[in-house]
Amino acid sequence: MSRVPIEAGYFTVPDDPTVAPRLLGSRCASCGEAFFPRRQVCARCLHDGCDDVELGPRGRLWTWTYVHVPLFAKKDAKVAAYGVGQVDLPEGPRVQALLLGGPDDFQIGMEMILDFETLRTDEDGNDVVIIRFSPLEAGAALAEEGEERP
Amino acid sequence: MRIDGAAVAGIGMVRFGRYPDRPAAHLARDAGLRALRDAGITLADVDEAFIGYIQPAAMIGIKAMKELGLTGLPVTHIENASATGLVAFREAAWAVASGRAEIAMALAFDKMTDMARNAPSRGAGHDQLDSTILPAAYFALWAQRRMNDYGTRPEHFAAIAAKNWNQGALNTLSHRQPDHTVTAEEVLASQLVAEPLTAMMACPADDGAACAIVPAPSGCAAISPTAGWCARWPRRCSPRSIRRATPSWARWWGRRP
Repeated sequence: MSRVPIEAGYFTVPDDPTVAPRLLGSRCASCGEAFFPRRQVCARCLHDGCDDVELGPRGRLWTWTYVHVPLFAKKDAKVAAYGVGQVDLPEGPRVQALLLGGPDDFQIGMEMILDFETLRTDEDGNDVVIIRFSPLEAGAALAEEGEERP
Repeated sequence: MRIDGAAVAGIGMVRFGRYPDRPAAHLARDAGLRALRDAGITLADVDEAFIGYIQPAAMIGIKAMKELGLTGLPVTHIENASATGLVAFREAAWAVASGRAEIAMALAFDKMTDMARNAPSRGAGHDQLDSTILPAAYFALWAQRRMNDYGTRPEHFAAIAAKNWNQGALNTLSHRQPDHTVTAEEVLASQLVAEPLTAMMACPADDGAACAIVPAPSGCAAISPTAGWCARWPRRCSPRSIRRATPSWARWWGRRP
């Protein structure tokens, strides 16, 4: 059984299930500013031509909430409630994503690492996955490529 | 270009609530008719109309205005998220302030009962990643950060919400008509939507419409000598002009639809 992203072009899905995904971003070839998601023209210096780079998987939690009323009556999520946060990557971008954990598990400034949430199984039997951040201290399931599991 | 300012000569509103069986254009029509009557004019007197509606429905502005008549006036559909109605009003004010129109109309309506029914589960592209939360949860993200940076507590948000509930109750056309003075404790104790925001801190999903007749100040007295207020614009409102405005708004609030 393999994993497929909910939308192509936003994050990697490593073959090794113990390796954390990375975000598919851009870096301006002129001023060096990093972006997620990918873009053609730099939002800082308007240089036309950003290079493709991979960002993450680590970052710091800038803010969070825990959603008790899912978007428009649970059309998407099978879970009753879930965490959402914005994480500052060391490269610059602030990324919003689902969070793993309950309302008592999050603290602004804590270190996070990317992993996956499985949303559903598609018609070919693949797991459809979306990115999620997990608190690193809580013993994240995934680690950066080539790194010991925490 | 001479910036002359803008005034409000008449207003009309449909009480906000849930009207699953009433088309949006009919809600708009009723608010528009009330505003025209309030100003003592007809649609023939209106030079330009700005229609605020958040859904990207093609021609919705024209369809709503056809309910009020066919005079050939220019109609512009405005969509600007939560600020849609506000921006329709701003554009009407600019239209008369610039001298382009003598009387403009700002007419905005909501049909959130339709939105909830028809909402796609997710958008496309990056929305596939981001559309995991309600608008209230976006504000919850800001609230959490504010609590971290400035020491704001949920009690503060609750006190603001309670104040708004009690102020809204003074308007007989608002959706929520609490039968008692709402307390901050009650707001805090309501269902948690997204930490730290509760259901009573969020606005209701509902239907309704509101309209304002916006003439140039020079024409305001001619249209409606008893009209609510004529504010010079874009100068800031002085506390004196706000005080002067209060009695007429209060009178209008007291009127039944």
